[in-house]
Amino acid sequence: MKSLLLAIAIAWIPLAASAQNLAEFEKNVTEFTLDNGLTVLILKRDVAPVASFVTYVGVGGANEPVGQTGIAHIFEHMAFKGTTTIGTSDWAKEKPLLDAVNTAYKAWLKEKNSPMADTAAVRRLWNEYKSFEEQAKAYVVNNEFSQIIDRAGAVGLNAFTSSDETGYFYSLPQNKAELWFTLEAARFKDPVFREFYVEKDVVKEERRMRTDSNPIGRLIEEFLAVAYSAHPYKNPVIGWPSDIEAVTMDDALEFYSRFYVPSNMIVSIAGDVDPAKMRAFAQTYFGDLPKGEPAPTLFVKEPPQRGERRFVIEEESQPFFISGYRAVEATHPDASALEILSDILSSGRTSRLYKRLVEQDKLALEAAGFYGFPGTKYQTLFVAYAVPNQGVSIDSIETAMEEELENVRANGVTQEELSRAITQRRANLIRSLSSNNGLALTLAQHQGKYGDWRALFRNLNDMTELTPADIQRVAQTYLVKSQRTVGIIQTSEGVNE
Amino acid sequence: MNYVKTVLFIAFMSVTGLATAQTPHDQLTFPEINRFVMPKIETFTLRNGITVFLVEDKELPLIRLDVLVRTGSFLVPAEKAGLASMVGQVMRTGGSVGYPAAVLNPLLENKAASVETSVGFTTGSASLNVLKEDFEPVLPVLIDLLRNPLFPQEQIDLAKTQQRSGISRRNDDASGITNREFRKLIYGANSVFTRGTEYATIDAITREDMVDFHKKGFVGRNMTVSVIGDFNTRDMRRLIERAFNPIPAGTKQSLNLPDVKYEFKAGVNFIAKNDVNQSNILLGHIGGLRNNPDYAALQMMNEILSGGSFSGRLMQEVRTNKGYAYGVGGAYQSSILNPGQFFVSLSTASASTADAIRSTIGEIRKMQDAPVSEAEVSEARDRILNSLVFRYESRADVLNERVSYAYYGLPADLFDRYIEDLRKVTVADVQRVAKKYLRPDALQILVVGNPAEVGDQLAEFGTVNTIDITIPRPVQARAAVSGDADQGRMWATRMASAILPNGGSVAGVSFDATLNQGGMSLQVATQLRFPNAITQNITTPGGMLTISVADGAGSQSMGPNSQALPQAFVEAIEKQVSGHYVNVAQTLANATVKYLGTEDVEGVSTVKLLVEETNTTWYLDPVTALPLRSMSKEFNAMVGMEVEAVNLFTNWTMSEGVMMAYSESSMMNGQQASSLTIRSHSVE
Repeated sequence: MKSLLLAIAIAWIPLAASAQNLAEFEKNVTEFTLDNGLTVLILKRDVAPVASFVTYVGVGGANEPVGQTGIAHIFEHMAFKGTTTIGTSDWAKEKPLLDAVNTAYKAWLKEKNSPMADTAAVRRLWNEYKSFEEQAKAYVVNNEFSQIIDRAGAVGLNAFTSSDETGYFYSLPQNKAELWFTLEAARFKDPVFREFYVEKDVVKEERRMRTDSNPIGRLIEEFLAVAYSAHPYKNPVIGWPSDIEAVTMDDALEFYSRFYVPSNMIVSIAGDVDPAKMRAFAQTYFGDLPKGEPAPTLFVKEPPQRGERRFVIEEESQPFFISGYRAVEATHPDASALEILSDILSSGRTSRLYKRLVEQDKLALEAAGFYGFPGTKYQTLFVAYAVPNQGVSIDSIETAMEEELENVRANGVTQEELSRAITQRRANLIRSLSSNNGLALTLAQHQGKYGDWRALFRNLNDMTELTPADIQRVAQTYLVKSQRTVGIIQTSEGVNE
Repeated sequence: MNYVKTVLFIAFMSVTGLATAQTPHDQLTFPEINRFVMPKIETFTLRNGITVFLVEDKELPLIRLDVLVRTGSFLVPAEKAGLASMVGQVMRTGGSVGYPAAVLNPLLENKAASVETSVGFTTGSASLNVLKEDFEPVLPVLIDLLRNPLFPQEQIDLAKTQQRSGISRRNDDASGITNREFRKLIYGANSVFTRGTEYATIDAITREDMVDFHKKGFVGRNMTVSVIGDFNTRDMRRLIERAFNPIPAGTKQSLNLPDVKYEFKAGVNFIAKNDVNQSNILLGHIGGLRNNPDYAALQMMNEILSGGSFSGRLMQEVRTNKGYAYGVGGAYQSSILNPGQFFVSLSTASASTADAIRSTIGEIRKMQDAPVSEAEVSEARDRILNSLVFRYESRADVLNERVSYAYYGLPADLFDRYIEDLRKVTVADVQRVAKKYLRPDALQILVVGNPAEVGDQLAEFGTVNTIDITIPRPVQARAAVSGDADQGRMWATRMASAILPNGGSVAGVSFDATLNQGGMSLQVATQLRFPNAITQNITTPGGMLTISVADGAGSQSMGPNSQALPQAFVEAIEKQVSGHYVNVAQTLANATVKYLGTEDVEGVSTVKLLVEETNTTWYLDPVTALPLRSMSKEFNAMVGMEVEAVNLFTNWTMSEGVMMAYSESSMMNGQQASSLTIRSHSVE
C-alpha cells in the first residue's frame, strides 16, 4: 500500500509541473500565420545577445516521386547555392549556360540508359555536358550564399532532411535578424540550381560515407527495404544510387514548386529578439511568397504484413541485431504509450533491456528499444536492437530480447516503472529548454507534426494519464512476431582447410 | 475615438511601410547589439585544497555540479591501458559503500537525477544534474561515490567484457581506423598519446589497480568543483563546504606529459578494408603548442584553409568545385599540454583517391607559394570577430571557461590577447606562418580503403607502406610446462620419420578428398605448398569455388567473381598450412619439443609430445609414432576468443614417400567441426 501511494505521488508531480511550464513558456511565444499560410513562431529568450533561426518544411523522403528517391535531400543541398543575385557574377550570361548544362546532362543520361547504348555517343555526350558545366562555372561566385552568412558571424549553418521533414538553420548575433530574413526569403523565393550535377557527386560521397562504406548503414538500408512493401518509408532518404544519378534540374524544380509552399513551411526563431520586429520582418520578407497550391498529400498506406520478415547479411564486421515491429504514427492515441514502453525497456540503468542483456547476462554492449523509425508522420516501426558482446551468438541475443518483450506482454509493467519514465521525460523536457537552436527546431517540429507547438508539453500531459495496463496493451497489440522484420549482421565464417 | 483611430492608422502605416521595404543583404544596416551581462562568479578554496566556483542561473529549475579531477589515462602504464576509463566507468556502475548499485540506480532514476563519472586522457570528472529540489538529497550520493566507491568484481568483469567487445569492433568503422592509426604515425605507436587498449592490457588490470588509481586521483588537491543553477549562493556555499570538506586532501598530481620527439618524414601508408567503396584519408604532420607567439596568425591560416561552413579553400576546391568529398577539413592544432597535429581529413570514392589527395596537397602548397588575398584575410577576420558573441551563449559558458583556464593554469586574459593579435594579422603573416609551420614535402599520408578499387593510385606519392591492423591476440600466460627434453627429442625424430620415412624435405602435397562440413558433403582438390600457401578447388552446388592463399594474401573466386579474403582469414589459413603434420614432420628437427608422459586416447595409451613454438600437443601411437590426435589452444581473431582445436587422425596411408591420414576429423571447443576423407595424394 505504501509503495502504491508513493508511486501515485511521484506521478502527480509531472502533471502539475508540465502544465505550469507550458503556461510560463507560452508567455514568451508569439505565434501567427501570414496570409499566404506561412506559420511563424517566435520564442523570446534573452539570456545572451544571440538568436537561432529555423525554416522547417513539411517534406521529406516519404514525399518523393517514384524513381526520384533522394530528391528532397538534393534540393536541401541546392538551397545553399544562391539565387539570381547571390552566387553569380552575371546572371544573364549564366542562365542560358545552366539551361545548356541541363539539356546536355539529360541527353547523356538518356543515351547511357538506353537499351542499346552507344559507348562513343555516351562519352561524347558526357564531354559535351562537362564543357557546358565548365563554361557555367565561370559565372559562379563560389559559395557566396554561405560566405555572407559566415562573415556576419553566424554559427551552426546547416540543414537536414529526414523521411518526414526538412530543416534549415543557423544562429546569428541578435542584431542581425534582418539578414536572416532577407537571405532566407531569397533562397526560397528565387532558388537557382547552379552546380547541380557536381553537387550530386558530393551527395554520392555522402552516400558512400553513410551507407555503402558502413556496415550498420548497409544493414539499416536493407532493413527498411524489407520492412515496408508499399510505403515510401522503404526508401533511403539519401536515395538509391541510380535515382541520385537520374535526378535532373527539372525534377528538382518540380519538387520545389509542389512542396516548398508557405502553407507547408514554418519559420521558427528563438533568442534575444523583439517579437514585434520579427513579425514585421516576416511580413516584409515572406509576405510575398506566392501562396501556391497546398502540398500534395501522401495517400499510400502500408498493406497488412502477412508474416515475419527476416534477413541476414554476411559481413567482415562484428554482429548486429535489429528488429522492427509495425506500430502507429505519432498522432495516433497509442503513440505515447509506445514511447513510454521504449523508456521502460531501455532508458537508463534500471531499464529492462539494460538490466538483462547488458548487466546481468553480459550479452550485449548495448540493447535498446525505441518508437518511431524511420519517421513518425506515417505508420512507423517500434525498433529493438542489440550490439552483441564479443563471442555472443545472435541467437542468445534474440532469445533474451524476446523473453523480455514476452515478460511485458504477459505480466505488464509496474507503476514505479511508469512513474519513473514520466518523471524522466519531464526532466528531459526542462533540460531541453536551454538551447536556442534546439528550441527553435523543436517548436517547429511539433507545430509541423501535430499542428500545434504546444504538443511539446501536451504529449507529456497525455502520458501522465497512462496506466500500466495501457503499456501492457500496446505491447500485446504491436510487439507481435508476425508483424516484425528482423535484420542480422553475421560475421562471415573462416574458410576451413 | 479620433485618438484611437489615429493610433490604429499609424500602426497600420508602420506595418505596411515595413512590408514594402525589402532590403538586399548588402544594403542592410544593423542596430547596436545587446550586451551580455556577465554573471558573478563566487570562488573559494576549501581546507583540503578543493577550489569551488558558484554561478547562479535561475532560468530553469535545475542545478548542475561538476567535479573536475586532475587525473587521466596519461598516468597509466602501457601494459594496463584501459585502467583509467574502467575506473571512471565502475566508480559509477559499481556504486559506493552507502549506495550500492542496486540501490543507487533506482534512487537516482526515480528522481530523473543523473550522477556520472568518467576519466579521460588528462581529466577526470564527476557530475550531478538534478531538478533543484533534489540537489540536497542527491549530493551525499555523489560524495559517497567520490570517496567510497565499491569497485565490485561483478562490475569490473562487466567493464572488461565491454572493453573486449570494443576492441573486437574497433576495425569495423573506417574513419575510426583512420583517426587511430594516423595518431600513431604522428606520435609513435607506443606513445602515451596513442596507446590503446588490447586484450592483454585489459586482462592485466586488477581490482587493486583500480582502487589505487582512484585513491591517488580523487582527492581534494586534485579537485575543482563548479556549480550552476537555480540556487542562492550563500546557501550553496554552506552546502558545498559541508559536503566536500571531509574529502581527504591527498597529493596533487602533475599534468606533465612527455615531450614529443617528432621527425618530419614523408610517408604513404595504406590500410586495406575490403568492405568499403570510399577511401578515408588523413594527411599531415605534427602541430604545435598554444603558447606559440604565432598562434593568432596560425588560427587565421586555419580559417582561410578550412574555416566557416563552406568558406575555407579546401571546402571550396575539394567539395564544391571538384565534388570529390562530402566533408573535408583540417587545421594546424596548437594544443595546451602537448603539440597538436596538422592534418587534413576527407573521404572520397575509391577511384578518385589520388586526385583528391593531389588536390588537397595543392591547397596546402598554395598557402605557402602565394600570398592569400586581402579579401580572404578580412573575410576570415570578420567571421571570427563577428561570431565572438557566441563565446558566451549562457552563464554556463562563462563558468566553464573560467574553470578550464584555472585547471590548465592559463592566464585570464589569454583569449582577449588572442583577439588583439588577430586584429593585427596581415596577408604577409599568413604566408610566413604557412611557410614556417607547414611541410607539404614531409606529409604522412594515410589511406584506409578498398585495395581492389584503389589499385596502385598511391604509387605517385611514394613507396606505399602497408599497415597491418590485425587485432593482437592476448599473450597467453603459459605456465612453463615441465617435461623431458631428451625423451621429447627422441619421439620427435621418430614422429618425423614415421610421416616421412625417406626423410628429406617436401615442397608440397596435393590430395583429393571429401569434406563434410555443416551438413554438406563437398568434393575438394587441395594443393599445399609449404610453409604457408594453398590452392583449394571446392565443388559446390553453385559451381567451383577456388580459395587460394599465397605470399600473405588470399582470395576466393567463383566463376567471374573474385573477392579478397580478410587478413584475419588469410592468417588463419596460413597457420593451418604451416601446422599441417607433413610440414611439422619436416621442421621438427629445429623445434623445441618436450615429452609430457602418456595419455589414453580412444583406448590407446599415447605418447604426448609438446611442440612449444606452436603450442601444439601431438598424441603419438607408441608403436608407429604416427599422431593419433593433435590439440592446440589459440586465440581465434574471427570469433575473438580462445579456441581449443583438436584433430583426430586415422587410416594412415603411404604414397610417394609421404604418409597421410586418410581420415581426419576436426573439433572446435569439443564440437565436431568437419571431417576430411582423402582418396589419393601425391607429392610436389
